[in-house]
Amino acid sequence: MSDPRPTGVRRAARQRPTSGVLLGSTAVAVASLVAAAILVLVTPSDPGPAPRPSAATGAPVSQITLGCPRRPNLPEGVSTSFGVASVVGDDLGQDGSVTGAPRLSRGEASEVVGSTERGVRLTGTDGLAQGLVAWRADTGSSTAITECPSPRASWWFTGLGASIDHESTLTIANLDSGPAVVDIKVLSPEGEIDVAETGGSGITLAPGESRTLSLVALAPQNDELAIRVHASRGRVVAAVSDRFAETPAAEPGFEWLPSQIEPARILRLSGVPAGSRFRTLLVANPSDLEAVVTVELAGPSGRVLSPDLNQLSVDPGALLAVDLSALADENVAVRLVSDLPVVAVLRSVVQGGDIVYAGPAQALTTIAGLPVIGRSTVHLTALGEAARATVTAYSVEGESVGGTTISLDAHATDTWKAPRLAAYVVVEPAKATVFGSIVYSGESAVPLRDLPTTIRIPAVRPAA
Amino acid sequence: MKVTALLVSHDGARWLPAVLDGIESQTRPVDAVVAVDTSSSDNSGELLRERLGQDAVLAGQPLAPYSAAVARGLSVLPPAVEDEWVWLIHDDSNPAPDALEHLLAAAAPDIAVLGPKLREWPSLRRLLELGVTISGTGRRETGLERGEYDQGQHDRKRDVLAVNTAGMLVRRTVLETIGFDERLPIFGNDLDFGWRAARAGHRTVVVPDAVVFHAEAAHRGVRRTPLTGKRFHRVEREAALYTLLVNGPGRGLPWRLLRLLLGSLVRVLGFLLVRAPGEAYDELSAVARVYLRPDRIIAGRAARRRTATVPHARVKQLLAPAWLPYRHGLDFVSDVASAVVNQAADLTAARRERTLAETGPVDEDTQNLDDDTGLVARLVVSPVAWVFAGLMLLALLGMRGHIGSGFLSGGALLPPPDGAGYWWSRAFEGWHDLGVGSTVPSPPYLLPLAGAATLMLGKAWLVVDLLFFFAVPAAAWGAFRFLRRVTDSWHSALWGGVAYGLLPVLSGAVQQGRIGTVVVAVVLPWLAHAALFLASETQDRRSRASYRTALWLALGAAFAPLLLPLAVVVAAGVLGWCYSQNRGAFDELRRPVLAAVSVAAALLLPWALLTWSHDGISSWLLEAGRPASELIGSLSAWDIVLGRPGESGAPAWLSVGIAVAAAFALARTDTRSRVLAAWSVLLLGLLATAVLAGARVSLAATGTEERIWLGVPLLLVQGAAIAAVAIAGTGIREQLAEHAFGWRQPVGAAVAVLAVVTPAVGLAWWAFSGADGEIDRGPVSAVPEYMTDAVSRDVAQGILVVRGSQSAGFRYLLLREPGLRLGDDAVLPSANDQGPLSEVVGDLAGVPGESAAESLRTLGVQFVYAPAPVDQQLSGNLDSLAGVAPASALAPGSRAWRLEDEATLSDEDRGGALHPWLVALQCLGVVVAGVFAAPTRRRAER
Repeated sequence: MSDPRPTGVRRAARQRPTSGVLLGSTAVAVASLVAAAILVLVTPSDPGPAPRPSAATGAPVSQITLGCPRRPNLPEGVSTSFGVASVVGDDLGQDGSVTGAPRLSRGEASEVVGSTERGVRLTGTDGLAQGLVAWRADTGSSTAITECPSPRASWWFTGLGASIDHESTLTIANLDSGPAVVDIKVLSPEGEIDVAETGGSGITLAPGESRTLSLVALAPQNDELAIRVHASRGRVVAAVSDRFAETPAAEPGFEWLPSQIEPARILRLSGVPAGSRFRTLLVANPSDLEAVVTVELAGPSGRVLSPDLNQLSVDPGALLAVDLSALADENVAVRLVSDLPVVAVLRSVVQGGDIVYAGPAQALTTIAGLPVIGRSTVHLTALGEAARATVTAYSVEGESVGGTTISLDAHATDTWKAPRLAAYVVVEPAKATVFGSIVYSGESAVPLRDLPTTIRIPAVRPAA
Repeated sequence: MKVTALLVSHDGARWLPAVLDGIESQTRPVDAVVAVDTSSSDNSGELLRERLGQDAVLAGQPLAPYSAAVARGLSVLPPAVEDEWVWLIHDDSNPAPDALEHLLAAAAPDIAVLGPKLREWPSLRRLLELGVTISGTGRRETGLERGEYDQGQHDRKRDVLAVNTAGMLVRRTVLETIGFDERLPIFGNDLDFGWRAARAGHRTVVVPDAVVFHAEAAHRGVRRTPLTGKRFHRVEREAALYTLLVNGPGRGLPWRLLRLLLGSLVRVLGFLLVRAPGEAYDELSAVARVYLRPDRIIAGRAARRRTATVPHARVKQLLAPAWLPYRHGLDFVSDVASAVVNQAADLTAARRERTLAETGPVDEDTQNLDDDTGLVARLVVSPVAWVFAGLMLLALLGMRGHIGSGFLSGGALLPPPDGAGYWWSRAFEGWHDLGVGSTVPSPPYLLPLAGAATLMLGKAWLVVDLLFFFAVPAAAWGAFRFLRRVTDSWHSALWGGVAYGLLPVLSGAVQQGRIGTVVVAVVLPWLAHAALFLASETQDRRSRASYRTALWLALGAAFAPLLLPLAVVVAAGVLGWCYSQNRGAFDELRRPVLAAVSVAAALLLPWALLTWSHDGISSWLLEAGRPASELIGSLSAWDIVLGRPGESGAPAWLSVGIAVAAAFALARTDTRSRVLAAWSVLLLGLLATAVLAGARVSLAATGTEERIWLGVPLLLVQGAAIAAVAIAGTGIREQLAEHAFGWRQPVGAAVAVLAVVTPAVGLAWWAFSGADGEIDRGPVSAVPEYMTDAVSRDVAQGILVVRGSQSAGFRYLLLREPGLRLGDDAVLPSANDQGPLSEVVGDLAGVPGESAAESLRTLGVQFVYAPAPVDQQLSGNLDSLAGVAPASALAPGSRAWRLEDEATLSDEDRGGALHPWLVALQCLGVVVAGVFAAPTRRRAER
C-alpha cells in the first residue's frame, strides 16, 4: 500500500539541526502567544444568566370572585349587612359589572342584598374587578367586621377555641363549579391534634356548597387552637367566627378571626387598640422543629422591645399563648421574627368584654381599601424606615369626604379617625412601606391589604 | 431427406472463412446453402459470394432483425419437399465436420427442432450451451457453470425448451409456420421460438454428439450492430421480459408483471451497489420499454394463441424450476461476501508487510511468530490488543452505574425509541405529531440512527447504549489507526489513541448525554484518516477517498453540524497552503478536497436547506439531542484550553499535560511541519470556541436564548493537540539521546513524562468516578400509564404536562407519545406555533376564562398532568374549571385532570408532503456516495 501522506509532510524531516533551538523556542513562543491572544481577545466576559424573554408580566385584573361567609349562630341584638365598594384609584377600570350590586360604578359603595344563612358570592368582571372590596358587618350589641376574601387553597387561622368559654366555628364554602376536598389540621398547646376521626379530613364540598364545622366537635376541650384549612382539590373560602369570654361568668364577645395564607418568618400584626384589658399573643409553629420567635412592639413612639418577651420558643407543632397584658396600653402593632415559618394572632379583650383580633397585615405597595362602619380608626405602622401614606375617605357616591397624610417614624404606629359620613377609606403608601388595619369601634379589626388591581401573569413557555 | 443450410451474416468477415470451411467439410454434406448478408460494412458479402456463388447470397435489409433475414432466406428456397430441414448457421458459429450427421441421426417424426452442443470459439473446450431454458426472472438458463469444460459430462440427448439458433436444425415446415418473432431482433428469439414450437406440440432435442463452435460475438458485445446498439444488455433484457410475458400462461400474468417489475428494480439496485450504473440504466430502460407498450404484449399473446395446440402444463417441465433464481441470488451474495473477505485478507497482508517494514524492531514478539500463527496467538502477544481489551473492560467499569433496565437518558439525551421504525418515520415524515404539530425538517442524524437500529434488529436502545458505553474504546481505536498513519511509531500512536479516546468522558460529553459530541469523537479520527488519502497517487484512490471523506464528514455533521463549517475552513486552509507552496499538489488536491466538502454538504440535504426557514443559524450551532444549556457553565479561558465545555467532566487540571506537551511539540525541528499542521487545526478549534463561547442562540422550540455546547470545537482542539504530541513524540528517546547532554534532556524528559502520565491519570479518574453525571437509566415518562394508553389509541388525546410555579414560570409539554424520544428534540414545534397553547397554559396558571377547557380540547389536549410540586393556583384553577374533572395522578404530590369532552385535532393544512421524497433522495445520495467510496469496482465482465 502506498503512503498517502502529502509529499510536503515528508520533506519537513530534512531540516538543519543548527537552527533548531532558535526556531523551536520561537515556534513554541509564537504559537502559545497566538493561542493566548485568541483566548484573551475573543473570549468575551460571561453574558450572565440567560435573559427571560417571557418573564412574568402584569395585567389588569379582569375577573374576581369574593365570598362572604354565613354565620349561623348570630348573637342576639346583632344585625348583619353585606357591602361592596369599588374604590377610587388612579388607572382603575371604569367598565364592568359586579354581581349582587348591579348598579355599582367606579368609586361607589353599595349594600349587597344577601342572606345570612347562605352567605354571599360576588363576581366582579372587567374594569370593576380592579380595586373591589366586599365585607360583612355584624353590628349592634357587638361589632364584628370581616372582609370577603377570594377562594384559595390554603387558609391558616390562629386563636380558635373549643371549650365552654371559647368556642369557634369554621365555615367553608366552595364557590367554584368543580368539587373541593378539604383537610383540616389542628394545632394546640400540646401539639397537633388528630382530627381525622372527628371528620376533619377529606371533607368534600360540592360546587356551591357551604358547610359549618364546630371546633368543639373537631377538637373538644381545647382553649387555644390554630388550624389549617387546606383544599387538596379545588379552592374554598374559609372563615372562622369566634366567641370568647375572658372569665367564665362574662358575656362572651364575638369576632371573625383574621386569616393567614401560609406560615411566615416575619409577621406584622396590626389592630391592637388602646384601652384593651387583656392582650394575648398566640403563636403556632407548624414545623417539625422548635421555632425561636422575637417579639417587637411598634407603639406611637417607635419600637419597644420587652426584655422578657424578647425570645419566645414555640415547640414543634404546638401553639404558644403569651400574656402581653402588662405592656403599655397604647395603639400598638406587633412584629414577630421567627427562624421558622409560624402563624400568629393577638387577641385583645376590650371594655365590655368584646374581643379584637389583630391579624397579620401585608406591607402595602399599591392601594388598600376598607369600609367605614361606625367609629373607624385607621392604624398605620411604618416598617424599618420612616414612611408616609395618604389616607382618603370617600362617600357612598365616591366623593372624597376627608383625608390626611400620615407620616411615620421607623417602627412607629399612628392612627387616624375616619369621618362618620364616609363609606370607605383608601390607603396609599407615598413613601416607603406601611402596614396597618382599621379598628371598628374599638371592638373589631380588619388588616389592610393591597386590593387586587393587577395580576402577575407567570412566564409560560414550551419545555425542550 | 433434404438439408438446406441458411447462413445469416452481418460484419462477420473475421469468422466467415472458417465457418464456410466448416459447412463444406461436413461428413453429411448439406444439400444447399443460402446466405443472407444484412448489409455488412466489412467484406462479408464478397467473401460469401466468392465461396458460394452470386445466386446463393442474398442481400438482406440493412438493420433487418434475424427473423427477417431468415424469412428472406426461406423466400428464395424452392418449394418444400417432404422431410426437408433447414440448418441455421450464424456467421460466428462453426460446425464440427460430423455435426450435421449426428443431428440428422437423431431426427424422429415427432421432433421438429434439433440442436447441437455449443462450445466456445476459439477456446474450443468450454461449453456454452446444450439447450437453453428461461427462469421466472427472465434469466437465460443453460444449466452449466460459467466456463465449464466439456468432458462429456452433459452428453445426454434430451428434450429441451429451446436450442440456440446457431446450428439449429429445424423442419422447414415448422420454421415457416411458426417463424421467429420480429419483435426479437437478435437476442432471445431462439427461446421464444422453442417455447412456441413446444406449445405447437413439437419436440426440441439437443444432440450432444453434434458440436458447433460459437463465438457469441453479439452477446459478448464484440460485435456492435445498430440492432444491438451500445446497449446490448438492455436489448437482451428487453427480449427476456417480452418472451416471458407473451409466452407465459395468461392466468398468472398480473403476478408475473408485478414480479418482473419488482425483480428488475432489485436488479437495478444491485447493479448500483456494484457500481455498474450502465447496466442499471439498461435494466431500467428495458422494463420501461416493455411495460410502456402493452399493445405489443397483447398482440404477441394473440399470435401465440393461434399456433398453440398443447396446454401450458405440457411446457412447464421444460422451463427452469421456480427455486433457481433464489439459488442464483444466494450464490451472488456468497460470492460478494467471499470477495470482501478475500480483499480484507489481502489488505491485512499488505498492511502487515508495510508494518514490518516500517516499525523495525518494536514489534519483535509479533514478528518472531511464524507466519501461520493463528489470529488468537497474535492477539495474545500484541500489546495493542491488550490495551484495547483493557479499554473495553474499563468502559464497562466506567459505566457500571448505568447498567440495568430502562432507557439510557438524561442531560442532553432523550430516551431512545422502542424500535428503529420510530426513527425511520420521524426521518421521513414531513409533519410530526408532536405538541400542536410541527413541520420542522427532520434532523439528518435520524437516518444513521435509524440505519444502525435496523442493523441491531430494531433495538434502538442498543445503538445508544453501545455508543455511550464504548465511546472511549471506539474513539481510541479510530485515533490509533489515524496516528499509525501519521506517526512512525506505534508507541506514539497508542498513547495518542488512549489520550484521545478519553476525551468523551474527560470533557463530560458522555456524562451529559451529548450524543453529538460522542459520535463526532468516534467519527473524527476516521474522517481525518480518510482525508489523508485525498493526497493519494492515483486518481481512482483520490476519488474514492473523496467520497469516503464526504461520508464520514456527513455522518459527523449530521450529529454536530458545526463540523461542516469547520471542515470547510480546514479544506480552504489546506488548499490555500498548497496553492502558495506547491501548485502541482494544489491541482491534484483541489478536486478531491472540494468534492469531499461539497458532497458532504449535499448529503445533508434537505435538512441543510429547509432548516434555514425554521431555525436559521441556531440549528447549525446545536448538536443532536436537547440543548440542555443549564448544564453548560460559563467557559473560562482555562476551560477552553483544557477542553471542558461543560460542568460534568473531569477536573480540568487532568488535561494540563496535553496542553503543555502540545506547546513543546513545536520545539522539535524534524517533525515541525506536521506538528504545525496539527496546530493550525488546534488554533481553528480555539478560535471557533472563543468566538462561540459567549454567543447565545435563540431556540425556536422555546423562544429562549441559550448557551451553546462547544464539545465539538473543543474536541478538535484536544484531538489536534494530541496529534501534535504524538507526532513530535515519535522516537523521542532516541532523539534526546542523540544530542549532547544539556538543558534539552531534562526538559524534554519532563514533558514526555508529563504527557505519558496524563492519560494514565485520566484512565484512573474514569475508572474511579464511573462517569457519574446527568445520564441515567429510567422510564421514558412519568406520566400515568392510562394517559399514555389513551393517547396511543387516539393521537388527539394529548397529555399536557405543566411544570413550574408562579414565581419561576411555567414550562409545558404536549405529549402525543408516552414521552419525548431521541430525535424529537430537533423537531419540536416552535414556540410561535405553540403560541395558542402557551396562552391557554398562561390562563390556566393565572385566571382562566370560561372557554379555557374548550381551547384545550380543540388543541387536542385530553389530559393535563402536573408533576409534584404542583402550583396551587394552577391546580385550583383547573379544579374549578367547568368541563375539567380531576383524574388520578399516581405519584404523590402530583395532580392530573381529564377533559370531560373528547379532544379533537383538526388535520387540515399539515404540509410537508414533499419531505418524504426529499429524504428518499437523500438516502439515494448516501447509497450512491457509498458505492463510489467502496473499494471494489465491478468490471463489466461477461
